[in-house]
Amino acid sequence: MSVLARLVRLAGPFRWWLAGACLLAFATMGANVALIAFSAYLIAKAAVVTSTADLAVAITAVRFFAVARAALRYAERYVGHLATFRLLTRLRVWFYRGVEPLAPARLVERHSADVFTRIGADVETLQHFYLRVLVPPVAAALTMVLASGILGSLDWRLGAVLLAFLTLTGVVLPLATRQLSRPVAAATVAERAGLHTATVDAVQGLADLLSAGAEADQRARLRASSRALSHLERRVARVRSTAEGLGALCTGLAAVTVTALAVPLVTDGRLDGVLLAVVPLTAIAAFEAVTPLAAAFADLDRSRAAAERLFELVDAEPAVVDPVAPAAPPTSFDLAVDGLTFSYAADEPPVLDGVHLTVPEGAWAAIVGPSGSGKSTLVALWLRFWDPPAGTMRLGGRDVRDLRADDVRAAFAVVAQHDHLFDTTIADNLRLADPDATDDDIERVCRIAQVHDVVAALPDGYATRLGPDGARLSGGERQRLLIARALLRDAPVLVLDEATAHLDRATEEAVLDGIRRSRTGRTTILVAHHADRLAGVDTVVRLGEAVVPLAAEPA
Amino acid sequence: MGRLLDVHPRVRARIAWGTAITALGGLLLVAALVLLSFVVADVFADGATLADVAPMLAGVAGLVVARAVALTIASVVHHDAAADLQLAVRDELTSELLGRSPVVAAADRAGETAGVLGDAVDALAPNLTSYRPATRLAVVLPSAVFVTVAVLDPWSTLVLAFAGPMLLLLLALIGGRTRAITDRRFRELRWLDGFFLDVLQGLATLKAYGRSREEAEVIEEVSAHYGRTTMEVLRTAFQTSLVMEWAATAATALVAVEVGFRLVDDQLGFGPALAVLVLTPEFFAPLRRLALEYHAGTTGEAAAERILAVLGLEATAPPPATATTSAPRPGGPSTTTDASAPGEGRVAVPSGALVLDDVWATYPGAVTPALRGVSLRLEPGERVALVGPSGAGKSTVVNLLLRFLDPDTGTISVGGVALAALDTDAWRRQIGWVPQRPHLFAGTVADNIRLGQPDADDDAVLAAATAADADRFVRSLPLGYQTPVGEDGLRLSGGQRQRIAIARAFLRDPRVVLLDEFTAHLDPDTEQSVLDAFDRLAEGRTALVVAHRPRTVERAHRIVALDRGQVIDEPAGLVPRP
Repeated sequence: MSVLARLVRLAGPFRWWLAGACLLAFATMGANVALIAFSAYLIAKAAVVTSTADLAVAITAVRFFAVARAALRYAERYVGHLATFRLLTRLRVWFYRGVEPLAPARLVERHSADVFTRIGADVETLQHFYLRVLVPPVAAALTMVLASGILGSLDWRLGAVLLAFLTLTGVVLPLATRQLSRPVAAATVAERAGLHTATVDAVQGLADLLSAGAEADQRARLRASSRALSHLERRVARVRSTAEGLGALCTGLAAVTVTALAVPLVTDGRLDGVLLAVVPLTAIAAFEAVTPLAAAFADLDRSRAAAERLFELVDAEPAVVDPVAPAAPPTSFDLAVDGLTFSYAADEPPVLDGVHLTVPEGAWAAIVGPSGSGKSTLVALWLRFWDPPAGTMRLGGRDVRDLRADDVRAAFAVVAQHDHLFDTTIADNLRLADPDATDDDIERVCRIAQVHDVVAALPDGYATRLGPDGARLSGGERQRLLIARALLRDAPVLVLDEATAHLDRATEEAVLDGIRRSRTGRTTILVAHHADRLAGVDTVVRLGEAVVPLAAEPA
Repeated sequence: MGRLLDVHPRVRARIAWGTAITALGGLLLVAALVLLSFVVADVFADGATLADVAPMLAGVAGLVVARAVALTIASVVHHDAAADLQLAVRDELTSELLGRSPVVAAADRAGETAGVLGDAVDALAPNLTSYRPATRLAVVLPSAVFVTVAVLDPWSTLVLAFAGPMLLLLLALIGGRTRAITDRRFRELRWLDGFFLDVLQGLATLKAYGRSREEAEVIEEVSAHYGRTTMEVLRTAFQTSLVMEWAATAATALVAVEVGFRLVDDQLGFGPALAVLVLTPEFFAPLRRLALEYHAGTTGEAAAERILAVLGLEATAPPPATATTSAPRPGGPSTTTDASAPGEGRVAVPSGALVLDDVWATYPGAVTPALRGVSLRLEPGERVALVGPSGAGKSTVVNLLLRFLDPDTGTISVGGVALAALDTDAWRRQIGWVPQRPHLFAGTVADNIRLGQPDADDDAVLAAATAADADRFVRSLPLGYQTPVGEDGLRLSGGQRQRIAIARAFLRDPRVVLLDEFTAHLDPDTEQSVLDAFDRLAEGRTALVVAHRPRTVERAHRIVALDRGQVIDEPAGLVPRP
């Protein structure tokens, strides 16, 4: 199915709203055509009648369409915006539902870090697709038929000529413009990206440039890129300006042509002279409908590109699919990994290569290894974000592949390195772990995580909004808040993935001590670079090696 | 925007020309409509034939063509003027960007300058090409219509005179209430987009907490709620446009009826009557167009403000005499910029000891000094390890030596000559700097090694890479030295980046090397390779190494320990333990 057809189908539940928006847009333009036509008829009639009573019908029509036009415009905008908001909600929910099973695997594999920013921009582009791309052509087509119909009813040639001019302005001209500017537009996109890269290089590499005495080279690069971009933009502007002028030309020539055609008809008596004024005025009024079409064509291209990107994301296969007949949720929580091998992409070296490890339920364990050794990947695999191609992972003796992913995740409370804090209040962020948590519960976990005093000192306490991704917090505060959130989940297995890296010794020990005392029987796994800060750990797992009791570790 | 144009008078003049041509187009339209009305009147009222009115119709066609040409030219002129302004502003921003000290740049909001060079400069064009002409046309065309109607049928000007104040009132409404409402609407949409983005970014977290599926309902709820509240606000905006629309249609209807009544009584010719009717909508059309362009207008104004702020031309500052040099910020920090180093002489860089004498230094915007009376002497060929906890001032010493920052008091000298008296470029040419996280620029590996030495030949690059032990891994890259790296290219690891930077330094063959040792963990092979390359680079040169590893400290001739901005006597406690 084509991209556009899929987009239209997405609006399915709102088709009546969209149909309403189309009809109202048409009615608004139609009312204007009618207002102008009846006004012209009115004064022409007035020139030949002797009593104002003979004008009653025309006057009523003029009044009606004047009021109708204003009221319809109001209704059109109201319905249109209402439909946009509903479509926007629908688009977001649709996209979210589509991408939710894929996250995070299919989002981070093939895309750079700013994939989310682009998604946001793409969804924003699409929310305008319906009102700016779908509605104007429908309304314009109906108005074209109406205006050509009015003139055609007087004489078919008048209608045909008007329709030809309208088609020329509304369809041929925008298409030709698009065709002519497309290669330049593509080059513009590339040049713009080049300028952006050179700018980011200049900003982020400023110290390197200055120390190497290379700022003049970079300046020259930026200038050259800027000039090339400017040159391309001028070329596009020339095409568009010409199209704009030609559009105005068509409007005027349409009026002149229909008048020139109508004059002999009046002279021959085939057209009532009273209707002559109606002819050019109707023609001019009809062009109101085709003017927005050029913009609609431009929006069409933008929407199509945005939709293609979103569909590509949503269409990906989920990395992990629940089994058809899932096993019952686990009741014990020993962790066992055997021969685990994993790489993020087929052509990349494995991050985990034949890993074996066991962590018995209730253990206080550490997973240690240098960066890049796959510690965080191992955690992500336990969260069922990916399926390992080789090896087994067992939770309470059951292969995780036989369990529902949600049941596996329910066993874990993880503080991951890239855990997200939402732009809501601190309390809301914590309640993510347990929506029913009381204020006392929240305070309790925050005290364990040594963050209660920090929060209490804020002007709004737990009701303080965090800002985008916890912007208001320091690295250490952020980590402690994430730990508090994980504790609130109260899952059988707690994983702290370098969660105390930004804390000073004393705080770190206080946090770990509090965790140790807060629940018996829970498995706690600390993930770290070095083993030296992990006093009191039962077992240390070095990635790729068998479980080694701490006593056997070389000092 | 006005002030930006003050600085670029030529652009302003061209915009004025373009706008004049746009206005001319408006006048041609008025003329064409009047003439067309008289054609219709001649045929309808006086029984003229096509042959009779052919010259007049040709005249209308001529006016139509002239108007189309005028509109095209005006549009080209506006776009060209906008392109000129964008080009000039980009150059100015580039100079500003590259003329700053990195320590000032770091204090700035990171993405702002890049954003200004991109979005803000882009947003200037619609303001100049659509919004500004529309504001002028909104004055010229209604005036022209009013005068024409006054000549054709003075009585009908009463309708326009009634609509005139209404028009002004509406303009005020657009300027005040609608502006606030439109702004609020855009803010709310932006908030909603931010909310959606936040959820997407936190998707993995939501999933880990088993809450990702329910979040779809939250999105729906929040979106719907915002849709409702925004509609409340929008209703007001729609009412404004309802009034505006109604004013235009009511005036048209009123003119039709009023003119019609007087036609019945033969008080008015059909030609003038039709012309007045045709012109009435044009009295209001420019205003409607202005309302449509309003958003382009405000976006452009905001963009101009951002640009002026980056260029240091804030509202209170008078515009500088020339556009291309950006004035140093008054009362700004005492950081060195290449263009405006104070007391700059052209003294050749002498050889000899590098000396810091009782140097105090404060970062721009900071209250407490980062260095408090540091004295330090590096003899030629000596290798000194600088150690201390983070925040002790190690990087500040490096920034001072690179002249990214100037001392508050105290002097830094080389061979007895103060750095401030030297040409900054010439001095930096003597330094090879290896930062912790070197930046890789968009380009090939070879381009990156050649940074600052674009004319170095391939053999020199190869020799430098070999000395930095970068040659082995570079050869293993898909395209070797021609492999693209940087923003859109291959990502290199920390150890690889540092070796590229060491190769850069080798290629420069500097007298002084400043090494900022990486703190991150590297695998043993890489670590060994980088440390060996460090050693080779430091050999026979004056070297200052910000050290984090015991081995690096061991190789130094001398250890200087910093703590809280001061050199301390007992470095033992601060030296990394083996």
